Amino acid sequence: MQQPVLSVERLNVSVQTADGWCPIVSDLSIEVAASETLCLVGESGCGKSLTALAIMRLLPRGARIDSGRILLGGADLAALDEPALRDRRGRDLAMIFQEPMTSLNPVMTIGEQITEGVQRHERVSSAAARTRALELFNRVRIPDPQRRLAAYPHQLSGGMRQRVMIAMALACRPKLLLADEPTTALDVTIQAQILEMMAELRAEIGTAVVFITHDLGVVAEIADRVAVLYAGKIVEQTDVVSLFDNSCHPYTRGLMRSIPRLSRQAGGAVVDRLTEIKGMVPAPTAVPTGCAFSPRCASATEQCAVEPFAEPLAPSHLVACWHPETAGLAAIPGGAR
Amino acid sequence: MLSTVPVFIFVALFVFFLLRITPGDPAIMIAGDQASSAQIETIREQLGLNRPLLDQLLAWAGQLLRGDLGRSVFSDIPVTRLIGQRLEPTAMLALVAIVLAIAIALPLGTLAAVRAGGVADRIVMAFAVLGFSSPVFVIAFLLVYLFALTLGWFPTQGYVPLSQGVLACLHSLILPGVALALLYASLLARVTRASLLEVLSEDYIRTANAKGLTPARITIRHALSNAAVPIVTVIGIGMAALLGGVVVTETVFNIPGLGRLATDAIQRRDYPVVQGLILVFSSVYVVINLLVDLSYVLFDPRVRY
Amino acid sequence: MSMAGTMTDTATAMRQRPGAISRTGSFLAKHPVILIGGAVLLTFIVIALLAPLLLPDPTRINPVQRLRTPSLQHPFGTDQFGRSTLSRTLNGTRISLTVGILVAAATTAAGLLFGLFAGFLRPLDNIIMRLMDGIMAIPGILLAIALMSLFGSSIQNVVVAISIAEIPRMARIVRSSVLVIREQPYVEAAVTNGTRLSRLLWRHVLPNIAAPVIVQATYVFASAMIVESVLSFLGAGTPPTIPSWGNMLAEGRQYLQRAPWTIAFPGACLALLVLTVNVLGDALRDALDPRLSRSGR
Repeated sequence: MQQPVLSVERLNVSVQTADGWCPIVSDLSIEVAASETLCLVGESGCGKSLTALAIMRLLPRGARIDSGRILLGGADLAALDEPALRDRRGRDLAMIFQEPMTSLNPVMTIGEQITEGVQRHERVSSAAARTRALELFNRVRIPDPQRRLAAYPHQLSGGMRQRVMIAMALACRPKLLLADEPTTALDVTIQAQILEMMAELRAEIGTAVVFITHDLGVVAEIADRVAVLYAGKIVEQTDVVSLFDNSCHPYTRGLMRSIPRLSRQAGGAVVDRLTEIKGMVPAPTAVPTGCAFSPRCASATEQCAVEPFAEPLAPSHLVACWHPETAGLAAIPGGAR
Repeated sequence: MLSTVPVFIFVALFVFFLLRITPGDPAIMIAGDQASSAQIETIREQLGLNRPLLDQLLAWAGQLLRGDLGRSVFSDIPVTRLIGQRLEPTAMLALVAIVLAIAIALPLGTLAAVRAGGVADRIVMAFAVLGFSSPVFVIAFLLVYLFALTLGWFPTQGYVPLSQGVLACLHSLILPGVALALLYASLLARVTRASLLEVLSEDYIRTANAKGLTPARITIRHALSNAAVPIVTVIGIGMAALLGGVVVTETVFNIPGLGRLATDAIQRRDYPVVQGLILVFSSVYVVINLLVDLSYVLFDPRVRY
Repeated sequence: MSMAGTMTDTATAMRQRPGAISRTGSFLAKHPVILIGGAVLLTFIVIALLAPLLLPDPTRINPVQRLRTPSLQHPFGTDQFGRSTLSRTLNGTRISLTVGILVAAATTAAGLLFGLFAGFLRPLDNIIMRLMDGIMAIPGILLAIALMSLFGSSIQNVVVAISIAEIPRMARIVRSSVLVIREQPYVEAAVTNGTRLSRLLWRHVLPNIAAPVIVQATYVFASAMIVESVLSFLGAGTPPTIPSWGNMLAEGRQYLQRAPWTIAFPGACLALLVLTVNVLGDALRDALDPRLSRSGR
């Protein structure tokens, strides 16, 4: 793998509860290279959004980074002060949020919302910033960009708003783009267009992308590598092909089995029976010691009371499990939806 | 917006019936206990109280539509003229108070919201509660004692009309303006803080932070502009308190405005003047709130009329 | 998950059901501002009750001792008639508290009546609420002065005049809460089941509007005391023979330079009492109904 753009080392994030600080993300380590997309996958509440916000150093009140390093462009973001962070946010790293409706300021034109970021980080005239915004609008395929610059967010459709968010995030050609479920709020056809466009722009600008999603269909479409999170820990990290063909962690396998698939039978297409993972995700305050997944795991033994290490089963395929299912799952089609 | 019309009609009916449904003979009430029966009869004649109620009501409505508020029982001068003569000091006082209140409240309320939970927040909010817990005239006495009697920086009372120079006029209005503004400023500071706090927790503020914008730009351009609608709304609603405060402030500082006219008229039982003033004050309040409603267009592009 | 936790907690709390006193105690321990504010208010009430028993007659004139500075003999000094400012100030507490409490009670009663009618009987809604809008368009103090000039000065009339100006806001609060509650499934169910209106109000509506009404009543209490003093100050309130704070401030006005104590003590007491009640209102609002605190009054 080439030199990573972002490298997160043993990141720990906790949130404040009635009984003190409760860890949400534990010892998370990831690396992303230029033009590469790493998907963070997990159920809601597993800590994926907090990880992204921690990398941006935009954790909400009541959440904090306990330890760990966030290396980007030679600096440790976790150690920088607020003014230094402000110089980097929007320039070196940018983020796209889940809800394009609430993430855009309703009383400012979208043109201003894009140019203000450009002018913050680059010494350009407002005319030049405007030209940049127009260019960006063309890139993200917003029709009639000239007129849209003067529009307000409520005058745009959901898909258009997310295109604006992407244009805004890429305005200064950041080294790293964090995308937190950017297509979840959109309908499926729009989602496909947006994903395709993001992939193109990533290749063009050479941005490293951390893409957060719970949708394995999206993973199949956009990821180069995948990290699966369970209860704040990475349980499996591998490239996208081996995730779908050869996942080893019982939790990952469970996720795979919960994807609806069509199979041809005599009477036409039928949806296979879905297998759900038994039990519930533990509350952050009640994560079991040892392997957090063990209470729900069919192959759990006494050994699972001790926390497993993330071990490489193959080059660049890490699994944190005492009993990885290396047998090779029956092939699951890559475009699983 | 159309609801302003029924409000006007209601206020007009209210002041009309107020005099007529109070127990006892309204003519005697206006003339006073010591009045002779001839005086009482004159007043009854003047106000048309001896005619049937419906006639009186129609006459009153007709008068109002012509912009005629009747004549003062005390001086026989048309009420509209009396009000016109006293308009300038009140308008100036209210203007000074509003400008001062906004100039005090917006920065302090913003500071409190940005530093929510901190020392600055607590101090500002403590002053805000103190501000609207203190009656206008108590604040006025304190200011007069300190800045007029002890330090001698401002006159203790009186009003210098605009015709004698804008600066002299403003100088005479500083103490009454501050006394009147504090109550209003307290209200505004609290609302500014509350609405700004709500806005600061919105997703788009996080987006603005993700762009690396400076705190100043985020607070002013992104947050305050979104908090403008509730703030402006309270500027309108607070006008009721401000107009009430005008009556008291003018009495304390001996300013010959509408407020003084009102207290004098009430003491002289000059009911036509009281009626006229209530109508004028209410109209000002209603019109200002209408303007506030219309001004939403300026602050929020989603609003269309 | 946390939802389930809360429900279990509530269930446990309901099973244990501690006595009213210990519940009040733990509520106060959790909200120290309410405890302190309540203590200050209680002190004022005790003063109001005891003042006439312990202090010299506040109306006794003593021409020899006019405008004396505060001293051991006259801790708050004397006014232009030689009357004790201490005695007058402490006796003035009675007037302010009486007016405040009566106005709060009258406003709550009338506001509930109008608000419930407007909220439940749709045909009446428009009429009642336009009436309330109309009253709200008249600056409260001006309305009260006008009413006082017609009614004549007496404490009852002060209470009535201030209440009329305060009722619309209370009625609006009650009405808007009722409109929300009406749509709740459990209320609709109760209506469909033919629950009697009185029972519906008592069991379902009142408990749900209690919090905003109590908070608003506290603010009305504070505001009424200010308006009373303003009315008295303008000569259209409490009869001048009664030592109310507003009357004292009006009389002391000419002596502001020579005898500032005649104004300072009643002024400070008024501000302190109103402040206490307002702070109590804010604290109750935060404790009883966190949703309200966002609107910033």
